[in-house]
Amino acid sequence: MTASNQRAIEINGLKKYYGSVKAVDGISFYVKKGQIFTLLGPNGAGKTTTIEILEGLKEADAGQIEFFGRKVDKIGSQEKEDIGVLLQKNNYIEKVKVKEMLKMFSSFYKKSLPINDILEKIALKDKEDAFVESLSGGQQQRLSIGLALINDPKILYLDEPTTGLDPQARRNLWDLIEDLKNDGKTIFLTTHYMDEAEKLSDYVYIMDQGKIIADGTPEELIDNLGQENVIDFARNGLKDNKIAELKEIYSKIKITPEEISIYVQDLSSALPALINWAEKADKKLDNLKIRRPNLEDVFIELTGKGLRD
Amino acid sequence: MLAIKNIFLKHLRKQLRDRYSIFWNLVFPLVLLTILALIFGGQTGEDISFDISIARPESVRDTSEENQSYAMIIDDVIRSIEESEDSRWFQFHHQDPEQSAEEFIAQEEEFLESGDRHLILKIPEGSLPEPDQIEIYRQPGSQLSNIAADVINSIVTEINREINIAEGNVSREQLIATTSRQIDVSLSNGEEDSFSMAEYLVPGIILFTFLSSGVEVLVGRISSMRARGILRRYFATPLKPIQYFAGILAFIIVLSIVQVLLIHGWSIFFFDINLDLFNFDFIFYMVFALIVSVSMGFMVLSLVKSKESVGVVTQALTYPMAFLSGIFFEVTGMTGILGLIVAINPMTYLVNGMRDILGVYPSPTSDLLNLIVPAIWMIGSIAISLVKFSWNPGGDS
Repeated sequence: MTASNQRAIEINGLKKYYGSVKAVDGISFYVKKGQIFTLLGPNGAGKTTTIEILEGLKEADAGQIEFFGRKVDKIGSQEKEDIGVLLQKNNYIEKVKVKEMLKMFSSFYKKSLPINDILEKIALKDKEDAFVESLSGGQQQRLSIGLALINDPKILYLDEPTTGLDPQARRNLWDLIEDLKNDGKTIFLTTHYMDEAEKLSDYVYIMDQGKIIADGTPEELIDNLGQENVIDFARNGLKDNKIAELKEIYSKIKITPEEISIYVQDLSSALPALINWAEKADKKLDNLKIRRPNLEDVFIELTGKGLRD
Repeated sequence: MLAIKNIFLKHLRKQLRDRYSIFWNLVFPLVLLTILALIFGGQTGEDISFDISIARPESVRDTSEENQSYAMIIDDVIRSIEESEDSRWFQFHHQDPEQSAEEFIAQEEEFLESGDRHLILKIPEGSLPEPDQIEIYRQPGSQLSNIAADVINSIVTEINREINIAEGNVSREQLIATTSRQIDVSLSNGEEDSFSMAEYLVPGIILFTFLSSGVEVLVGRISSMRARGILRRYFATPLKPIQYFAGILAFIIVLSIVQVLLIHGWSIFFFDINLDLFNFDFIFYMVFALIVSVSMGFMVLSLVKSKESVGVVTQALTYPMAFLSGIFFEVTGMTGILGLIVAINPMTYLVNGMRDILGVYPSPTSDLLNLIVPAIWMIGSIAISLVKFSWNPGGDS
């Protein structure tokens, strides 16, 4: 067990209900200082409600919160001084200059970093006099991170930071997030992207229907699947009777309308068996791929549904 | 304090950088004032008729040729008007032979107050060359009464000029100076200023800008920021809602002050009228009107959560309030549902109070009502806002 003074945040029995809907249903976890902590879950799992409680935007119905060793009823102004936030939707389409926006946000805090340092950090120095509305999606997201960093926070909450960005902008943002971790920031991340979670996370909690259903490092979670390899191929309209034949051969199969995934330990026996089946079934193995299981596989194994369902 | 200042500056910059906002918030009120003043102020259609009562003291009832009184000359003029083509412009009401001038004036003053008369003219006693002053009773809040007073003044001035020429009192060279000499006119309320449509409109346009800033600008800005989640982002910092409110309110106040100054400057420059907008009573009314507008803006934000609906609801509220309040034109004669809207509309009472304080139009409603009705709206709006308002999109608190 991690010593409590190494924990940035610890919550116990956190609950938030909306009528009969249990958005957050008595969850408990902690976040170690200086780590990237990821909360995974499909839409409606309760992860945004959880993060908003920890950002001070919502109040929990029940539960204890410990913020850097201090027990608090809710996240208030004092705690917000040490929190940086990137919300899921940051639609700053306004005729306000980048520098002015940073200056305004800096005035919301008792302490703040020099604006030029932030501009350098988020690589927007050359855009300081540009209107926010003229920035690209990636630049706007970098500005959002700059706004989250303006108070030199101890912990950063990044709620789906790369949603809607192109691949290059996503990778640039990953680099920035890793830089922040290297600077000693604690980062609380939520994401839909498995590659993002696997690349960035030190520790992952998987949430579904308001509850934590698994936790561990990405490697631990994947290892817990108990399968070394996944064989994917295109379904191409494969009929149910043929799928039934496959299920007799392999114990763990995931079937989607587009793809069939077979989870196996030993490829040397599993692959020839698949080829034999394909010949007998007169089925082409289009888009055949062999890969390691990922967090999406973990999630499907645990919940029976995809992350973006 | 720095946070409030920066929020204020942000809204101010947005205002100054947006041509659309500059036009609608700063230029449009001036355009509206000008257009309305030209349309309604230039209304000299043939349907206008002046109801003028002629009061005749005992001593001037005999206007035979032997009695060369000033009264006889005035009498001749009135008769010639009645017999001329111009008679359609004037409806003269003469005194009953049994009545004294004082009784007749007392009776006609009631008609003047009710709007059934536009002017009472008391024929002066005394003979030439030094007759008494003509007394003209008018209702300064009535546009037609003021026009009638101006017409009669012009006629009297012209009579004086002709008398002077006929009597040889002045040389032709001196006449030019003499024609501008007016016989003193004592008005029933002692006010000398004449009515102008622009004067009537200025308080209304000021109130319209307050309604626009306090409801439309405020609602537009907050609903847009709320819908886009920007307010949530603000409140994820230590910034308190009251600080944000103070910042945007400071912006609305400054915008309103600039609007008032522009309207005032424009009314001096374009219409040559100089209303005393900066006396304590009028400033009180302006502040009161702005608070009422802002509180109604928050009520709209409290009751309507979606950004799309909020614009429609705002217009559905502000347009009837503006057009059925007397801000732009008289609404006292409205009946039925329109009359009901006028009667419950806080803008009706605010504009009545503002015009009354400036002396451009007497309030048809009492001072007490002019304060109480808007105050009820203000208190009701604040109460609803306190219960229902949310800074979050969708109203989630």
